[in-house]
Amino acid sequence: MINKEDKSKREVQLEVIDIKKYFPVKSGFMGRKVEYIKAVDGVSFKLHRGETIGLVGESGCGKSTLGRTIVRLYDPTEGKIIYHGREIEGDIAKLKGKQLKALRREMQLIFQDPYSSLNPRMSVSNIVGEAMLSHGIVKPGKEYKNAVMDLIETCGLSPYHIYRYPHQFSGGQRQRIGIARALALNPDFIVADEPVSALDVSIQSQILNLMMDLQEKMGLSYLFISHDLSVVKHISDRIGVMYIGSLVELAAKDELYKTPAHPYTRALLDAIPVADPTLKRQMKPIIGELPSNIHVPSGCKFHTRCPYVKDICKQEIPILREYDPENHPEHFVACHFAGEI
Amino acid sequence: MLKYIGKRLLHLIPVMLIISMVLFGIMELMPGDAVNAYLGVGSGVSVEQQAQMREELGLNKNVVVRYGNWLGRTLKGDFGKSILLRAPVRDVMGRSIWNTFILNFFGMVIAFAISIPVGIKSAVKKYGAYDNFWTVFSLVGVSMPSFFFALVLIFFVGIPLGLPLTLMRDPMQAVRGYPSLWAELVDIGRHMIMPLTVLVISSLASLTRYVRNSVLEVINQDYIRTARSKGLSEKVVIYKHAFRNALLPIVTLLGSYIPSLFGGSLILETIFKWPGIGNRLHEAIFKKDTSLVMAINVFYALLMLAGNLLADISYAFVDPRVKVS
Repeated sequence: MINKEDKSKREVQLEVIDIKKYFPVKSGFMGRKVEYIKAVDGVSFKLHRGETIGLVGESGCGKSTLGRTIVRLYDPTEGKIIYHGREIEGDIAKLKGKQLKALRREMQLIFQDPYSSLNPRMSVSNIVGEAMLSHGIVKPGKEYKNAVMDLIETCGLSPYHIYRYPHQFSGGQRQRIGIARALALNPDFIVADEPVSALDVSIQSQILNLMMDLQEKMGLSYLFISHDLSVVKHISDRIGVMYIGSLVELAAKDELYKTPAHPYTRALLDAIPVADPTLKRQMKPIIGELPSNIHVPSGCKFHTRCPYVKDICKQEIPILREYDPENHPEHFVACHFAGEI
Repeated sequence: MLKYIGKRLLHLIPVMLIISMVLFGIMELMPGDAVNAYLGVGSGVSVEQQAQMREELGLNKNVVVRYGNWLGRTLKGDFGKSILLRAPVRDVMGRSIWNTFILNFFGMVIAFAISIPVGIKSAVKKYGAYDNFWTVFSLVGVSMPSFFFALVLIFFVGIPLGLPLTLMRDPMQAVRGYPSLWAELVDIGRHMIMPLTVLVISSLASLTRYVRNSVLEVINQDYIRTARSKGLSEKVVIYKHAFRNALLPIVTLLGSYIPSLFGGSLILETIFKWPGIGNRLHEAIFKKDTSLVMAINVFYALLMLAGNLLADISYAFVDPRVKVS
C-alpha cells in the first residue's frame, strides 16, 4: 500500500496519454465501415507503483474497454501507454509479437465472470500453469506441478484441487483460480475487470481481501474496474469516474467521497443506498437517457443530463484539470464550473 | 457406465418391436403382389401354379400370422430367403453392407479431413473472402439434390474423362479374374471416383457449416480471451483451447454419420449401380421382396439407434462435465 504522506517518492509505473479505442460499426450490404463506437475517447492518467486506482461508471461507459486496451488485449486506436516495467520500458501501445508476449509477464487481467472465463475442458493445473510453460518460466514435470500448487495455495485453495475441472468449484473458488491464473506469470500490474460483480456479496469481501493481501505481499498495482461504489471504496487509493468513454473526475478516495466536484460524480454518490430505512433520502435522479457513444454530445458529454448546464457546456469540451490545487491537491475534474457549483 | 449402456440396450427391445410392426404393416399396404412382381406381366404361368407359389412362400396366410412367423424366424437368426435373388437374405446383406461400407468410409474420412480445417479457418476469418466462398459453396451444395449433382457430374466430368460410371468392378475383368490384388483395388478405386465425389461434396456442404458454427460459438467465449491474455500464440489458442471445445458437437455429428456409413444412400447407389445395400433395398421394394426389405429396414433402424447411443457415450469421453448416469 502506498504511503500517502510521501507523495514525492511515488514512482510512476504506468502513464496513459490520451488513449482512444474506437470500434467500427459495419452496416449495409457489403459491410462498409460507416460509423465508430467511441468506447474510450481520450483518457489520460498516471498509476503509481503499488497503488490501486478504482474505475467506476455506468454500464457501457468504456471501463472494461479501457482496461483491456491498457493490457493490450485490444489495439488502441490512438494514444500512448507508457509503462515502466522490469523488462519493458516505454510506449507499449504498438507492441507486437515477442515483445507483446513479454508484456504479458508484466501485466495481467482478472476477468469478470469466473464461470465463463475458465476453459471447461482443462484442469485447474492446466489453466493456471499453461502460461508458465508457454513463457518458459518453469520446466514441465515436478517443478511445474509444485509451482501451480504453491500458487493455488497462495490464493486460498488446496493443492489437491489442481486436478479438478472448473465446473467442480463454486463461484468464489473459481475467481480464486482466475486470480491464480493471472498471477502465474508474476506480473506487477493487474487490471481487475469487475472481479467480484458476478459473486455473492458474502464472497465478494473474501476475494477483495485476498486481492489486498496479494497486493501487499507481491507489490502489485491494480486498476480495479467496478460499478459498485462500495467495493471500489474498500479497495482503492484513488478513484476515477468515467462517463461515455472519458474520465470526468479523478481523485484520492476520501477526497472524492467527501467533496465530489463533478455533477455526475455527485449523482452517482447520491445513488448509493443507505442502510437506514428510517432515513428519508433526497435523491435527485439524473434525468434523461445515457447518450449513444456513436453520436457523442458536443462540448461536455454530460450537458444533456446536467442540472447546472450553461451555454459553454454545449460548445466547449472541458479538460481534466486540477481545479483547486491549494485546497484540493491532485483532485482532477473535467467540468467548466468545478468548485462553483 | 456399464449399467447405463445395459439400460439403454434394454430400451432398444420395445422400440425395435414397434418399428418392425410398422415396417411390416407398410409393406403390407403397398399395392402389388410378390409373385406377380417376380414373374412379371404376361409371364404365362398359370393361375394354379401362381397359387401354389403363394402357398409355398406362405403368402396366403393373414398378416398377423405372417408377422408372427417372420418375428419368430428372425429372432432365431434366420432372416429368410430373398425371393428376388433366390439366396438367403443373410448372404445378400453381408456382401452389400461391405460394398456400402467401403464407399462411405472413404467418403466420410475425406469429408471430415477437408471440412474440419476449412470450418476452423472460416470461423477464424469470419465474413472474409475465404468464409464467404465456403458459405456460397455450402448453400449451393445443400440446395442441390444429390441425384441432380450426380447427373451433372456424369455429363460434364465422368463422360469426358472416360471414367467408369456404374458398378464397382469392371464386369469383364471380374469374370476373367484379376491378375493381382493390386489390380483389383485399382479397378475398384476407379469405379469409386464418381460416387465418392458426389458423396464428399454433398456432405462437405453441411459439414463445413457445422464445424464453422461450432468453432464460432466457442471462439467468442470468455475463456478464449483468457487464453489470449496468457500470451499464448494464436495457433495454441485456436487449436488447443477453441477446437477442443468445439469438438463436442462434432463428435455427436460423427455418431449420426455411423448409420450412413453402413446404410449408404439409396439414391446415390441406385444412380451409380453401386452394389451396396441401398441399391438392394431399392430393387427389393420394387419386387415386393418382403424378407429382404424387412431385413434391410430393421438393420437401418438398429444402426440409427446404435448411432445415437454411441454419440451419447462419446460425449462422456470428450467432455469432463458430462457424466453418463
